[in-house]
Amino acid sequence: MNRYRKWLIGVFALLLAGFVLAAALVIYVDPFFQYHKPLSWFPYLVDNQVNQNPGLAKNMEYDAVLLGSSMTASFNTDWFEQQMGLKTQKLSYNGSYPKDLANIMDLVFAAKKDRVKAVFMAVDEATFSADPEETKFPITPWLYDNNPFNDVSYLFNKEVILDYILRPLADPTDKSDWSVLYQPWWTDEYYSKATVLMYYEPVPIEKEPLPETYFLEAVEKNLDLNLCPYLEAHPETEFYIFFPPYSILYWNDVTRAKQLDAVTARISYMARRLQEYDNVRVFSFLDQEEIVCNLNNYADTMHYHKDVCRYITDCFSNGDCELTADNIRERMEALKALAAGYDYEAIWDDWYENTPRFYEGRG
Amino acid sequence: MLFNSYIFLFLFLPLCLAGFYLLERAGKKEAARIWLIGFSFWFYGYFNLSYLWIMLISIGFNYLVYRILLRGRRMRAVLSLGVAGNLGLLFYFKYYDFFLENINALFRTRLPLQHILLPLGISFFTFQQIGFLTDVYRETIQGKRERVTGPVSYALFVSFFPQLIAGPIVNREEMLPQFDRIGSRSFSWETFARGVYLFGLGMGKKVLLADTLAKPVNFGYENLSALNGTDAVLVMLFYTFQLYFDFSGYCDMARGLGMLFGIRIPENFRSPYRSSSIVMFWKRWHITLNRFLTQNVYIPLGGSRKGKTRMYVNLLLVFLISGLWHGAGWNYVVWGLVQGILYVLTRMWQQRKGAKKDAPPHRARQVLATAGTFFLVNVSMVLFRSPTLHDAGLLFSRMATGGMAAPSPGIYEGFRLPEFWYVIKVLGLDRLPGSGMYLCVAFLAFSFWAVFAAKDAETKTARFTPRAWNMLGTALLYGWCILSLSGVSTFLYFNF
Repeated sequence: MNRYRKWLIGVFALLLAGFVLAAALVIYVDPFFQYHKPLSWFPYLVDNQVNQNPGLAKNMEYDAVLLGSSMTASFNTDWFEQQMGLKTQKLSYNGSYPKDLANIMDLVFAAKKDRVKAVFMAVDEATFSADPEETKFPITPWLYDNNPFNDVSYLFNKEVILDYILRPLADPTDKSDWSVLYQPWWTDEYYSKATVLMYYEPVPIEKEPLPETYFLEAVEKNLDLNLCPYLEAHPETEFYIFFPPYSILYWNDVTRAKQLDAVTARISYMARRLQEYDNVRVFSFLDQEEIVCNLNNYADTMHYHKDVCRYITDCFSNGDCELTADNIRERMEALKALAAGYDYEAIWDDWYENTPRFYEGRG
Repeated sequence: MLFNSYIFLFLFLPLCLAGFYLLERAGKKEAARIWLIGFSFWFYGYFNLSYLWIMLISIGFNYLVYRILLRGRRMRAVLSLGVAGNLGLLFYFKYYDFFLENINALFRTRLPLQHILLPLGISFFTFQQIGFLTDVYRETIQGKRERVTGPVSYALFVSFFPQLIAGPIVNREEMLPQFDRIGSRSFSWETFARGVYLFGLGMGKKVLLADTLAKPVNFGYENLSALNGTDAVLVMLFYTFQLYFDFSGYCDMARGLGMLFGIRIPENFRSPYRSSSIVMFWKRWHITLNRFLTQNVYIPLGGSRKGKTRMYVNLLLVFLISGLWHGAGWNYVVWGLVQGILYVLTRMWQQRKGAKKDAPPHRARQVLATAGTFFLVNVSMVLFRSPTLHDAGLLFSRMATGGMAAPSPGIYEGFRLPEFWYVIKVLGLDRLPGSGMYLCVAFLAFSFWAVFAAKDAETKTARFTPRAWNMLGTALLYGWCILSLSGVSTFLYFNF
């Protein structure tokens, strides 16, 4: 046989063997969970929300999901099982926009149909006035669609093989704990008023206040496109939607930017719209003074300690902090009064204030 | 689509090759060529369907001009019309907004910019067609008998996908006879194997080297004001390597693909960084563009026939056009001008010395001259890469005033490829001081070796003989490249 021909056959045979091996390895371990649920023995590294959440949504076993931004990252999903008997899968996207929530809900409901008992969802009210098509990060089509052909990007991908299959095998100490996926790296010491103040820079003071209705049109669009269709399409699912407790410094910025009326109008509008659905329970922690006014609960202006997450989970179960038709007006006024009347200057009086964390040690 | 993409490698190319050789084997010459044209249109239209229409219009227009030119009447006017039509198309898509920006700046007007989408490769196929028309014109007035090129051959000449979007800029003499032989030649395993080998080397240069070097370069240009002096020098150096590996790698792939179809595409790079003068550099860098500019600009302007001063002016003009051809921006114009000045000064010096321009000087002087030329190329390439002249100035000022310090993490972290993590771990290098920079240094050393000491892809391909080790090496290289085509996005820097 012609030696060039033999050489070519050799090259292609080696390549074919290599590709079959690579694809078989990726399909077997499936570190992005595209084809099957995780192997019981493999030390999976789950650290990439954009790339791993789709597979988790498709192939994990769960009754409920926890969705939202980094406001959900410190939750332990075991609490939902202990309190409410719901096996819950965390599918957080740091910095997520409403479209990110919609994208992952598409995958959740496509995979589980009407078997999703509950959706726990943190809504970052500010993101609801963004463009309804905006996502925090570009999504990876080969993980979000059902086209088997573009799976080549997953099957023949050295970073998948090396970083998510061989590396965890070589160094299993990085193995992720399924109950606390995506937990932030901050240890307890970071949750202190001093740390928060050290990195906090107030926004400049604006002269003109924003009109109260400024955000409403955009919020309406986002609700109509990215949230309400799912509430309507899944009456069998109970949605626990909550406004997370941002620290009082968030409200300092809102008042300095002269947006208090516009922001509280945005929150009221969202809460009222969501309350229209029988399968939705809305919770607000924005006005919980014990949490928001104690900066020892925070690592920065918004990110709260897991003890607070535990409290929020307890509220889902016992109904505390729920917004109802009866109390919504009063709660919104209380929030506005808190934000407008707080003595922000006094915050800097004592950087090392020793107030214990809310719900300390329960998380 | 790109050569270094899954769809190209796993679907497009195998289908195209299979159909082409089946048709050729069946003796269907015309069908085989039409098959290639069809695939070339798919290749081009895959980027954006509207691009395809523009190319089709361009091909139709030029073919019409060609046929009119063949009638032999008022040829100069017809040629001028053809060239003007081509330049008009190029001007509209590539330079119109640049022109408006300058008008606005000059006359303080507010003419709205059109934000026209630039069709990929338009500069290449436009120049190639201008070259075709001027060749026909020149040969006809020289009395050469023109063998009429049919529309299929012409369309294939322009659209042949291996050289369509990034060259080399081929001419009709070297391509048309080869296309004509399709259907009447025998398949060569040797050529095919060499094509596979060359394509692999090119893909390695592009995917493994250029795309890795692009990371610190992009980081550098996104954070110009934060760079220290060392960072700035490294960014300049990395870009010089990146550009060469990227462009020459792509051309190697193009030439390798040509061989898979039994078509020889001309060489575009010949170890340019080993040049010992700027004049030599331009004989080895983007060879086919320089050939085009020599034939179609320099010589018609009078070349060296009208005295030295005129020759230098002509050379400067050629380089200015070359700069503008590369992009619609003042940085490209200045880059062209700088190259032109360097070229002219070198020519003047060579003529004054009376030395043979490319004669090998003494070894030590040659090393020094090569280092000096490489330095000049590095400096001028800053203008080529910088989005604006201001950014180029900023990079230079960071080199001068940024201070000597260890490189920033953003500069060396891009080299931390996962495949080397194990090597570092196994050797225990991660425990040593400054271990984060080892891969960066290794990459730099490899780049210097590849550019200055290793055999270039052309030589390696020419000397290629099938062996077990290069069979394994080629398979590994392909496997490594293909597994590197898609990464896992981590978005580490999105919040900064």
